[in-house]
Amino acid sequence: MLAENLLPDGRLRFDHLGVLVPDLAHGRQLLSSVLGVSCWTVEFEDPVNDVFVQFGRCPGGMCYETVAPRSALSPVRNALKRRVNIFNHVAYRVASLVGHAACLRAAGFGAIADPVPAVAYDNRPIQFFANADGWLVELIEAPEHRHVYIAELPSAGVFSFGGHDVEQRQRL
Amino acid sequence: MLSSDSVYERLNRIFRDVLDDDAIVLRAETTAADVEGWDSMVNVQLMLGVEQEFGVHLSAGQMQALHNVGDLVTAIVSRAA
Repeated sequence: MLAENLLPDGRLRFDHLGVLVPDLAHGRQLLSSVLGVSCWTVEFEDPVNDVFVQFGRCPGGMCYETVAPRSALSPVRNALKRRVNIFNHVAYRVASLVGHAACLRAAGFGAIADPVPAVAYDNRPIQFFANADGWLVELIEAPEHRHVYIAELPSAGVFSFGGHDVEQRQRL
Repeated sequence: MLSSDSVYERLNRIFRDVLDDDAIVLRAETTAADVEGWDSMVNVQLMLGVEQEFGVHLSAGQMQALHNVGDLVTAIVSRAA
């Protein structure tokens, strides 16, 4: 029953691994030099979730989301301050939050908050779930979403990143 | 009917276990700001502990509406009754 409920087509669609960074520029520097992340989306300011986020992809195809606090009350401040849960969450796109939330609950997870819109996903709803072991899972109700990478950046070095006016090169 | 004293005692055990801090002593006025490490993720782990200990489920919205430990104790006592 559990597997049947995971997704109508039988699988979750991996979207990203969320990592906490003090600011997005620091995150780009770190992930590019250490993990080889070479293409990035624009930066997103998300006032609802009180964070800045950006998505980066390494040549192997792995997608990371760097998450930085937007204010002193940001929900990621505490983890950054304590240097815990820096590799923070794994995120999946789903067709229905309600259905998959029930699945996670049956597996011992609890919702951190009610679903909220996410700027980086065209304001589609997202929801975070945690379990007693410290797992943190994000569900994104945008099954067909694709990140738009706007620039190929060197795997290391200093970045000159123009933001929204950079030519779009690929949609992956 | 659960007594408040009993709930506080059992809650203390849950909080100390989840936060790995034997010095925690909960009071009605205790809030997340008073306890080092009590963030939104830990909050879920605490609520899962509450559910297991008392058989009481609180939704995410209900959790967010609680202002302090006193509110939590009231919610547990009323739902467990």
